[in-house]
Amino acid sequence: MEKVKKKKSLTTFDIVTFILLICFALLCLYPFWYVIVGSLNNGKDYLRGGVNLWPRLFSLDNYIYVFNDSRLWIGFRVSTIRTIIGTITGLLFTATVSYAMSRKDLPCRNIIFWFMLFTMFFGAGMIPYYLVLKLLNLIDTFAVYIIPSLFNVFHMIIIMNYFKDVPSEMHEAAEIDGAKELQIYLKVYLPLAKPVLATVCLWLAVGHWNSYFDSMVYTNSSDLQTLQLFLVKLIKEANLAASDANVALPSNITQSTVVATVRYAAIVISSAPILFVYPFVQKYMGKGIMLGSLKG
Amino acid sequence: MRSDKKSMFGKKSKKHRINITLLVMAMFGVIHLFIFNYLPMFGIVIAFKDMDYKLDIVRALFNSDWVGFDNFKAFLQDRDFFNIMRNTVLLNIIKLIITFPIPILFAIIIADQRSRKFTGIIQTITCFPNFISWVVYGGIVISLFSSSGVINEIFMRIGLYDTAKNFMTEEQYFWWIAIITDVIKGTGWGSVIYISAIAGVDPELYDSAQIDGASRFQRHRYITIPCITGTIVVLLLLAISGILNSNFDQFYILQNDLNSARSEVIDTYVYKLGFSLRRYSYVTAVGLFKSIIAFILLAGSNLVTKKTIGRGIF
Amino acid sequence: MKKQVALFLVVLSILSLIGCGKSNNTSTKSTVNTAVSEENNSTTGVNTADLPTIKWFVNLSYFNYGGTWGEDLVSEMIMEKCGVNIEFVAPASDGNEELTAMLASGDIPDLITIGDPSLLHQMVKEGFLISYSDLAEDNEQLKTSLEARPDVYAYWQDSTDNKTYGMPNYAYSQEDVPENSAYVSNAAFIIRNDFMDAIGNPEINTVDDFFAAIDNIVETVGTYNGQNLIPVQCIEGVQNSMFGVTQMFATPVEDESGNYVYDMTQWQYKEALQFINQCYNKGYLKPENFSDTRDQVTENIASGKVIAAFVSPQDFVDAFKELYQSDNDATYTSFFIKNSKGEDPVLSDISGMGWLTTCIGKDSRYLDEIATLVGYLMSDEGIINMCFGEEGVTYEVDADGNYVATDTYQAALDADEDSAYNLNSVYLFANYAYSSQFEPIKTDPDEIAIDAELMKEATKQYAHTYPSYKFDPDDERADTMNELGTKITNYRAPMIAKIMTASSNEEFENLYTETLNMITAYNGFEDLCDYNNKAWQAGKAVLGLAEGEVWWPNN
Repeated sequence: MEKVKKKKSLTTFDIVTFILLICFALLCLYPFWYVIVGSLNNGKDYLRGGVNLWPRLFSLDNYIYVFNDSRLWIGFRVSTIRTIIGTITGLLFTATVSYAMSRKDLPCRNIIFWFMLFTMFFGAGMIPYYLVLKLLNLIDTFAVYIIPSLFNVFHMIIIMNYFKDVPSEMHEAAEIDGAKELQIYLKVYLPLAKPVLATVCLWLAVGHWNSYFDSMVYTNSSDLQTLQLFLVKLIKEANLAASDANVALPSNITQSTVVATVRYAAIVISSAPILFVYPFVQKYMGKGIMLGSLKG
Repeated sequence: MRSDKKSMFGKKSKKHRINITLLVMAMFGVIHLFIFNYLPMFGIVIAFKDMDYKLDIVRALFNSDWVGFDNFKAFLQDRDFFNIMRNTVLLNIIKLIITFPIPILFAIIIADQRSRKFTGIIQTITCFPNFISWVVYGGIVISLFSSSGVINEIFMRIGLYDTAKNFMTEEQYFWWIAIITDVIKGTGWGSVIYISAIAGVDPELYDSAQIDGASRFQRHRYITIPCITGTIVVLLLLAISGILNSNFDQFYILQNDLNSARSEVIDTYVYKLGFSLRRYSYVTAVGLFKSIIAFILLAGSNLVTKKTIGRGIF
Repeated sequence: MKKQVALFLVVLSILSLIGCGKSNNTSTKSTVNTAVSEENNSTTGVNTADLPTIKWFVNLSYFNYGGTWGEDLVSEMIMEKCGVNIEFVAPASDGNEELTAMLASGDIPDLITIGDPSLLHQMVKEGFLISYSDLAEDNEQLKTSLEARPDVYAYWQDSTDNKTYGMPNYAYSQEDVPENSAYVSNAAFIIRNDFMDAIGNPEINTVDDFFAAIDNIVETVGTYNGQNLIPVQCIEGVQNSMFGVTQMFATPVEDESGNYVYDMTQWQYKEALQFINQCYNKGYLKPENFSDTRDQVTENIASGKVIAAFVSPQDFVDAFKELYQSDNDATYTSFFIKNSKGEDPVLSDISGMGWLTTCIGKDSRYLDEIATLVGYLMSDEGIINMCFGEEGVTYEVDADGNYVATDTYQAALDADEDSAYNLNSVYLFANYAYSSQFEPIKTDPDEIAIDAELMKEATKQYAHTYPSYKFDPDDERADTMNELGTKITNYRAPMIAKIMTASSNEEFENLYTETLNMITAYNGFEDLCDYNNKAWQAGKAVLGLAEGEVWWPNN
């Protein structure tokens, strides 16, 4: 944004914000560091408490426990493919609708908008939705991860607003050059919307990567289980109804895996890819893109 | 001329022909929503029937009694209703006032920094808490705020008081804990949209402002904020309409018997009374009630923002 | 930048390809697997592919079969004796989403195990299940098994048509209970042996003696490993500990005529609350007990700071083990506090009419095979096989008639490589009363020190089999009563917490009276008591008591 201004001097404001940012980042870092440390600590030793800033009894057992389960790899495959396909298709689908909604000369624009907005507030619950999916034969298929999430009204509104802020001269200039509506959309508006598309792309990707509820209820076969669902199950399996004090579980079936540290390992495993991807997405958000488009 | 008429079919149109391409593009979304959102809406009748505890939903839809508003009354006339509404609404209003501007300020500060590498790292780090589930994050919060936790140590060291308190068991602190922990968890991730909106501002505007001798604050006040107003308004309107919603995961983990007077919100209450007992109609009725209120709030606040600053959700 | 993206995508693709490969790989666990399973496969020669696969849905998010079907001993036994494969499915959520979705769409599993009897009744009412009674008509094995434990079979009859649709696990028939045997209690008061030794092991049978001992310990011992001591530890939320505390103070559950009474109306209950309140005000019970999670409670115990705890010890086996490993003297033993009238505690034992119930889907394709399967699992042979394994392979019978692990199996257990046998994984028809008769007494001091059962050995004298409330699901008040009960509980919970943390006697009294008045004045409270009383009488009848007969032992 301010790429040319290297010779600005360091004001107090700069210093204050710098320190504020560092402090805030530390506050954010602490819980995550806590999680990483816990995941690298031996589970039984962790039980005794007092492990704060560094692993006391270093151990990779928690990760081994997670990675040893063959279901993890299925989850990885399913989630990866789902995230890639789902993000790209969802982004293109929604962005196309957003473009149309951003144009004033869309027929019935108001009605369509309220038609869409209404769905953000009114829904009927899981079972009716399940029955509709069943009717469409989407239950227990990979498509159930992709097709229902092709369109999202909130994302549509965000992208639409962004398109609305593009100066109308851009559109007129392209029309004069003889471009059709679709071409204008693809060749002019889409490239200009990189920051917002990157943001929605991030939201979609994270949504797909983290999802487990649809996998849990709308699919049955173990080949379709997402990574996050696997991790949720793993944690549940390691935690034998510990809080139900009125159920007397005979000790011959109490298991001995420690749930807390496995949970931490699961968090690290599932969030690492996203945190790896995020810096790339940031690049799209740091660019000034209008520069030069309107000259001449 | 016909084309100059303002009608509900869109603003004044200069073209005579209907723009079919746009219509087709929009229809993708319309059809998708019809299938996946409007079709399932038949289930809303569950709120008006007596279908609690039922398992075969399809059969029950046809066979169970119509009870009108009874399920709604069960919720609205509950003796705890007032307390729970107060906890939900008041907390959300305070939360909105405090936490809504924070990601915006954060985004502006980030955008203003000189080193891209530095802000890149900061942005990534501040997103970390978003990926920690509330089960884990809540556990950390509980131990931090306990009598032997870090917060007490710090406060006692700087002399605020002498004997350690357990903040989690004293109800007056609950709202503050809920808000602060939310800020830390959500600011980084929530600022992403504002950062991308700021990225879309034409740098030429800043250049000319610089030349005119505008200060940093003036630049942000007259350029940045107006340029991202569209985004701010959308998010603000949606936040206002969500005044009856709470983050279930957060409240469930931080709630305990001693702070429940302040920590019981609609979503946790309905979970205890509805979900665990399999009271299907009750849960649907409360959901419908919340939806109606949310929609009214949205339409209302949209009207207000359109009249005052000319921008709305649409 | 493009290079980094490309690299990232390559890494992800590799990981997903591993996924492709591993999905065909069925076992990644121990290497002992291959040796044992080859041995067994050659003797039985049964191929998993030839047998029908039964889908068994266990509605517990933490259920995990654990082994690999077809390659461990348990699965081989089942395949051989029943001629079926079993595919266990457990949901990921604690709510009933997956089950309700399945039932709503007509996709009913062959076998369903659930924990909630009212859910069972609902499934019967809506016609999803077939009864054991009907199935047993054509299957001798099942008939024999059901007739072996007729009281359990009768207890689980559904009121719709008086047929039995669900059979439980951990339910004990009168036939299973050996003469003169006693069970340990569920919850207990436990205290540290080493700390008690340090102050000379005084008597701690009254509230005052207990407090004196705690003070003494704090003064004498001071700290443990440099950390402050925690005098009293409850289960997280404290109220979960209350059923143990109220039973310790002998709170009656019925009056002299044998009718149900609401616990808060009894002076013993009030005294139990006062005890907790005193613990709180003396600083023995820290406020953290109300806000901590299970992890923190476990941590407290494992770190060795806790002097006395009011918990169910079997839930904290890990913590005891961890503590013992770092300090061989740090063990717990149970103790008892009697109320001001010196009444004996009346603790509930770990017995009963069942924990989980298993029922059968009506439209299953394999009803015959299922009948054989459940008949087998419920039989004495099945119970023993699932628990101890196969004679000669995993256990041998010693001179006293007890079942002792063979050397091979013991070695596998010690090395933590027993997944090839996977015993105790199918506990859905387990009968602990029956199988525990064959267990030898533990002799290893390390094991004895941390065994939760042995910790509670002394509770046997006070443990009783409480009658379980047998609610009539067809009572038209059922739904209303459930909702009312939940509402009262939701009101009561924060009030009890406030009472426990009251800072003065006056405040305690005021809050207690206020709460009690509010509850008894609740619209429908009398109906609720009557409804509960009916269930109480029915529960007593199951134990063989006559109408009007009083069960309460302290009379």
